Amino acid sequence: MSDFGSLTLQYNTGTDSSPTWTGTAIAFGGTSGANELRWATSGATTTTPSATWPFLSRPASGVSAIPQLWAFSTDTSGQQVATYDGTNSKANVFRWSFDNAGTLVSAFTLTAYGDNTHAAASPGSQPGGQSGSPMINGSSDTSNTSYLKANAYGFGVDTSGTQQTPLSGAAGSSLSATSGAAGAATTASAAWLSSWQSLQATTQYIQDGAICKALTAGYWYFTLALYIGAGMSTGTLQPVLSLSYSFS
Amino acid sequence: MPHLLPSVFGSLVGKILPHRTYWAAKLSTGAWVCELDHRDDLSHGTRRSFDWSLDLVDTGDVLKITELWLFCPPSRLSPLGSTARLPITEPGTAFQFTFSRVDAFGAWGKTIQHRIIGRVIDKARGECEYVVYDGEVGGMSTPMTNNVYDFQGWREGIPRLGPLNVEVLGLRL
Repeated sequence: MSDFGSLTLQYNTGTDSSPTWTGTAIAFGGTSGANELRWATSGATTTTPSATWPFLSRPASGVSAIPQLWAFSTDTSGQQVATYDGTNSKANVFRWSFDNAGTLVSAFTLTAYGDNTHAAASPGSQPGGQSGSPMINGSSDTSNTSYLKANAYGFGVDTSGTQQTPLSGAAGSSLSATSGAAGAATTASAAWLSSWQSLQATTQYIQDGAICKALTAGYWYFTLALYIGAGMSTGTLQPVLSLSYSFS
Repeated sequence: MPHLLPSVFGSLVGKILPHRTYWAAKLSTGAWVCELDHRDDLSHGTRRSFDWSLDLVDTGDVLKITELWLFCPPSRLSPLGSTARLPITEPGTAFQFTFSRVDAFGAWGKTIQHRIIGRVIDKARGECEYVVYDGEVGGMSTPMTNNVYDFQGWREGIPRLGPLNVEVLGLRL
């Protein structure tokens, strides 16, 4: 089997124009607060444990973007994703990093599920059947799209083996709490999606526009924005961000 | 399936392993190969598993496949394990791949793999017959149809895979 030997999520601790990816790889899996991405509005530090992570308060009406995102490799050791601010103004926020062992036979797909059972979403249903489904299902706040939005850049590594890396600056032009369209939003070569996509299981998701060249290391750049709204059910929400691919 | 045939590299093809799914192929020469096999990799000075791309596609032996098998571990749905066989009557129509899903975000992250073997039954349109061992469900499907030019998820919760890379798979359509 030619799976990747290494596939990690990396986040930027530098600036948009001078990103720092070193030492930011988040492994998949983990327990007891390790390998978590955590959103916050205020009160979070690099050592705040998962169990005492500050609450997010819903707005009394409407929606708002959550302005901070933190990545924790252990329960009490994390860093703020420096370029995440809940808007589309920064390009270098996240990237998938993969080594040269993979023989991909289908394109990357990026989406989110209510939990790791990967059940279908129920758009607009609150609270829904899984812990994170209030976020994934959305509500009238979001026109029944997910509260979690994403954008991705280009092909990662194109079919000729060329890495596609974004310049600093805006990631796409259209981002709002209601962004999202049914099915796959497919990236074009060396470009951000013009409209952000909602990450809602297999209802709304992003697909790489090309199958990355086999046996070629590289990165696929993407960014996220999470909203919170008056119509969202409360709770400890633990959805999963899910990357899928196929290899021979 | 004859019981426990030796592969050309010495593995026992046909055994059900407790925690592992694997494919095996019978070649037109009568020899069996499978991914349980190991080969010396002289270019890297290492020993590696028998690889579909390196050892069948790159060598052209993918065109010699006459039978493609999938052996799956025991599960709640199939306590004795599962076996699937696809006869390959036309060279260059057999394929296998793994659909992998990795989770990030919270402490629940995990990797799930689903194994697929298939054969193209209409080369002009890309229609294929395939069997999947669904690692999430823990069971093997009955034969289903799909299309290698736009492969759809086989159940809710599995996204559309889109077009498959026929070159990497070794298909001659």
